[in-house]
Amino acid sequence: MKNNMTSKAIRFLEQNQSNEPSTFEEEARWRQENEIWLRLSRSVALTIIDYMQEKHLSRAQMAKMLSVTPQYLSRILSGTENFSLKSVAKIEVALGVSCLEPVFV
Amino acid sequence: MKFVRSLKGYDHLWAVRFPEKEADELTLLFRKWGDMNFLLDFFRDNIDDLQENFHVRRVRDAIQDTFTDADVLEKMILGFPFTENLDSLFLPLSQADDRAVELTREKARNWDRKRHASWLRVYAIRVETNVFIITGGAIKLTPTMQDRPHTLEELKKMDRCRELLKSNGVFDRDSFIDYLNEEQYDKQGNPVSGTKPEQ
Repeated sequence: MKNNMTSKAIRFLEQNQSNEPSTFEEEARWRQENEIWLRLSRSVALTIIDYMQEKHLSRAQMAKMLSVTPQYLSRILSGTENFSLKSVAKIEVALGVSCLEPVFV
Repeated sequence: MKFVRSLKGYDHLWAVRFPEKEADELTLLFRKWGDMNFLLDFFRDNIDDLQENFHVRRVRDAIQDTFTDADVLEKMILGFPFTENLDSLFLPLSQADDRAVELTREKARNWDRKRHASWLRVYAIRVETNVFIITGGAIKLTPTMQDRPHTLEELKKMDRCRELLKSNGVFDRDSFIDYLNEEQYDKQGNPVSGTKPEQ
């Protein structure tokens, strides 16, 4: 039972609350806690995106150039792929550029 | 349309949950803003708006700036339980809403963005002092929300939510908010672009 201080608006929201709670907070905390390696993963994806724009390449053409499947390219471009160093090296060789930006500047 | 608390244990920030979607609007918004596949397609599709209105040429820079701003906004939202005055973060959406005495469409953004104005928007409805319902958000690359289908859709979502709340008598008659000028307006009251060329 809510006390009398609960406003009409809050009572309405509680009465019309979804059975499935928000996962925003949990997901946001995960992003914050994994910020450093996510930044590295994103820097690889951003390098590929820059290359695609510069060379006017489609996703299919880029996947072919990297010798990966379109599905794996999509995973790379999600910005959340936890790469092995071997995978990063393969991408760098294919593009001829460094992918990893320094985390601490 | 249902609602969820965005931060557990707090009554001040809620989000709309549409039954046909897999999560609430705030959760979906930040998933989208963190998904480079989505951002790549979005900025490719809207490259003219990006280049003409923000003078950002590279999709890479647009995505990077989106990540930076989304991160700031996310931290702001996570910090809301420690911010007593949410009204200072959400500002009136338009001059028309400044005159409204019922619900007000609001938006939050990263106010300290350097280099160019932030294009990220979190849209919310203020139901009473320091109580907001997030209805969605957008990457807004044009002066008004009516200019593009994806921002117009956000406007419609806000209106749907507002209508539901109004029809249930949920609004604060005393919640008049002073007009705070986020966009630049000319002397006739028409919005003008607040963007600056990239340095």
